[in-house]
Amino acid sequence: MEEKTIKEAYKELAKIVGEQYVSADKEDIMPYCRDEVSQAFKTYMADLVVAPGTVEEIQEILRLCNKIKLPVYPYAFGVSISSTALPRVGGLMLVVRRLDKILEINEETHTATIEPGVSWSKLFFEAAKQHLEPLGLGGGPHSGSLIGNFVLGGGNTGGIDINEEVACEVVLPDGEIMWTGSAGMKGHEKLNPWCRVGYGMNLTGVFHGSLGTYGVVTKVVRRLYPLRNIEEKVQIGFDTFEDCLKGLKDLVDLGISKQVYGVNGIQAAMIAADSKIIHDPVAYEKYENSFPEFLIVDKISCYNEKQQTVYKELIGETISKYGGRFVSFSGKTHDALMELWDGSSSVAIRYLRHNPHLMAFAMLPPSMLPGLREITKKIMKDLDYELTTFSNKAIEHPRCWISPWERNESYLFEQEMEFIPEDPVSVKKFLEFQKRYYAESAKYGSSQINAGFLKRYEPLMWPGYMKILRGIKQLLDPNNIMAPKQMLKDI
Amino acid sequence: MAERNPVKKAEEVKPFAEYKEDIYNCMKCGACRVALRQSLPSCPAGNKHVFDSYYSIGRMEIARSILEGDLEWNENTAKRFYNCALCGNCDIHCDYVNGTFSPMEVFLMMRRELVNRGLGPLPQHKALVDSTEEYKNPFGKKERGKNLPFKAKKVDKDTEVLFYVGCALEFDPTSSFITKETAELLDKAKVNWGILKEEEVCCGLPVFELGQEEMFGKLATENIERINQTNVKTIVTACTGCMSAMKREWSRYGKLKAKVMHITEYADQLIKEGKLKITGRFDKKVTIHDPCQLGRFNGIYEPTRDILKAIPGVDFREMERHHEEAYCCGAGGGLIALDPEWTAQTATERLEEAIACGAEVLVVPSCPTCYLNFDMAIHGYAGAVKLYESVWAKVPAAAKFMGIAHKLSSPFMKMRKKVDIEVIDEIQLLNKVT
Repeated sequence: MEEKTIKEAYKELAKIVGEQYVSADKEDIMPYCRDEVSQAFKTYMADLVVAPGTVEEIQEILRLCNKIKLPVYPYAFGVSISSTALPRVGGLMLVVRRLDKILEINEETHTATIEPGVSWSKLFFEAAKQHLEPLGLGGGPHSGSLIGNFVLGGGNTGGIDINEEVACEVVLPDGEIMWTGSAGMKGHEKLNPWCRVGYGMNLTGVFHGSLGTYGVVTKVVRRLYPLRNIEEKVQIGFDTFEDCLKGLKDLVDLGISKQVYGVNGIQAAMIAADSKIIHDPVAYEKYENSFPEFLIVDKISCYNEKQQTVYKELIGETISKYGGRFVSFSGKTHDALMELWDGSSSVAIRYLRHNPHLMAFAMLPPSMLPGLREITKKIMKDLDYELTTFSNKAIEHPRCWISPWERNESYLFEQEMEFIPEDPVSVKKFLEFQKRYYAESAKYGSSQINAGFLKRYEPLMWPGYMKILRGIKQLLDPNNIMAPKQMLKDI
Repeated sequence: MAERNPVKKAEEVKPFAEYKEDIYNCMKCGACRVALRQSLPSCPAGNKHVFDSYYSIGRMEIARSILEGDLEWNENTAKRFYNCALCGNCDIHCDYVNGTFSPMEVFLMMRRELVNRGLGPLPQHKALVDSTEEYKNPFGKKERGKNLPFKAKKVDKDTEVLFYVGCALEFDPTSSFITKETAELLDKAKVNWGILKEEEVCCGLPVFELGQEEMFGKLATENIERINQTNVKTIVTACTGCMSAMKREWSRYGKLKAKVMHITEYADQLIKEGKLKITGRFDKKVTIHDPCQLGRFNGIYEPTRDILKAIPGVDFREMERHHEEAYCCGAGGGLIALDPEWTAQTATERLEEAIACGAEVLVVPSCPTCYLNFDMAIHGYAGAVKLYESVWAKVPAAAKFMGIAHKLSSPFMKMRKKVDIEVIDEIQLLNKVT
């Protein structure tokens, strides 16, 4: 953008939000322009950052950006680690975190209406006061945002986030407001915004995973669930990946779990270890060996002890078919794992407490996951990929997280690949791994969860599919101001 | 509740380049922004300035960008790193979820580097640093040991306990009463105590926090050598900053022979040993503020609460953010000299939190900085102006503030029609009931 345009934009933005909430200082802008994985990519830089405090201010900002054709990148908490919220062509970072209210927790409809600055921990904390809770997020930290996850594509390795949003309010690129779901009729956002399928198509889904390319999501109505008196995280150990997968599938089929995940022992050890152990290779190896090869947690939620006993008996019968056994841990390990299994754990960020890495995702039926694992190992071997931290076991048994998506339709399978940002060879291998992994997993039908992948996959998609996505983009955003090049290379 | 590990302390002062691994270890989770469980603000600087560049998450990104050549050292860098209370709340939450590095150590390193490059500290701090260099106290006062509101003997060969008074408790007209209360309590318990009088010099914490490591090192060394010449077994201080300097930061420059204790720790010990008898009652709803240097930096939480529990009639309740998640009063890290209106605003938020938990009385375990700040929040800026007048007069921005300070309403009074909470020092309270 021309310097003159930026200066004019700054003045206008200051009029809209007040001078303290807009900045052209590089020091203020830079933190919004990079994320963990972006360390392997080119550095992007926006020209301005603005932090509006109301929906009306967002409307005015988008009208201004349309008028002067200034690209806008919506930004919530910035815990993205997928380089999906970066200002690829410069412009304005629109930080929505000042909109941080829980507008309603509705005990009748079991929903929360929230703004984009509401973090997971805030909703958990407030909903619990009314004996409700959102279904956990699994993969991200407490400090992340629910709406940010929604816009980025779910981001939820807990596996069920995709159906958790009932309706949303969006400021469209021209500054107009709209609601989806049953609030699609004007005025119904106050009367009844609590039904996911309102009038015809599910337009909430259009914005799910849209990376801010279709507008700025300013409110979401999200489902909540009753908090029961007793909740237990039942931990089960397995000796092989195949047995773990079979056990996982049968546990899901039982239909008594609130949430259920699998993880390999080395991943669980890495997450649970405290920083002293992590920095001591000998102690760490011993610690890692104390974990079973694979670990499942089955989170059950019960009204009373009788139900809890019956549930545990059923789980015991199911897992014994595959050599599974109940396991328990003590001390700090127990505490850390319980935090992790909470499904919304800040401890999940411990995935990240070593070199930056890609969470290599795939969504496939469980029977295909052993094959995918072999492909992963082959790519690592071909590239002579080195994992820089922790034991060498991770080369033969890549660290992974398994989560039944939509409770069983396919499994989200996540593997962690590290790189050293200051080492060009390591970065090159990481990028090559990423390219080959996604190409290989796509061959077998793995789907991806956010629009950022469309840049890579467009030639492989059905032309009609892309026609619709492009058509919506061109209709809503003819000046292409919303997050240019986030979804597709050319727009 | 997170495990109560104190803020990490550097064993040695390293140059900027050697912090590379720490800087890269920030994984942008944002846990530094909020008190995790309650999701309430944890960072006074980020809470005020909004942009990430004032939170730990953004400051780490600035440091990384400088390392990678995408940003330069300049006044903007200094502004982001000095507009910070160094309260350590980010450090606690980072330790909880990441645990591989200390953001606080990176901030202190950045301040040292800014000093090395002639960009730090900020102009508002300069007179304070100059005063420390010239008079060995940050308030421009020439004479030491002559302003004390009690009579005390100078430490001699038989003295068992050194009461290390500290600069603020001698020169601050608002909080210096804590000195008198401390002396009264020590006498009441028949402690054999003394002070250094004119030989006491600043603990160095204010200049340490501003990045003046060399000056801090000289003060630490002088203090250690002087105190080690005495035969005292225990050093007691009623200033959390002095205590933290002695317990943590001086250790890089030498070893104290005596044990260091904050007065509330010491008083708690005296009660438990039966040397101090509680005879009165305090029939009030009470909560407690955990000063950063006492709690987060040194892990001292329970003695302060044990004292309150020992007083009949005290109806104790915790604020929403307490122990290691306690919100800073806002005055640390040099902020009270930089922007008193902001620090008083932060203290007001803390007072509101105290009122929200139903307390009539907010107890502060002897911290002159917290006390002055709460006083500013409630009563206005007269105390701060009096304390800083000799150093602020030399700084145009601060001098301007001094000129209008008496006209400014306190932030608390702006928000509320009446003062419905009392702030009291813990030793002051203890003297009422013993």
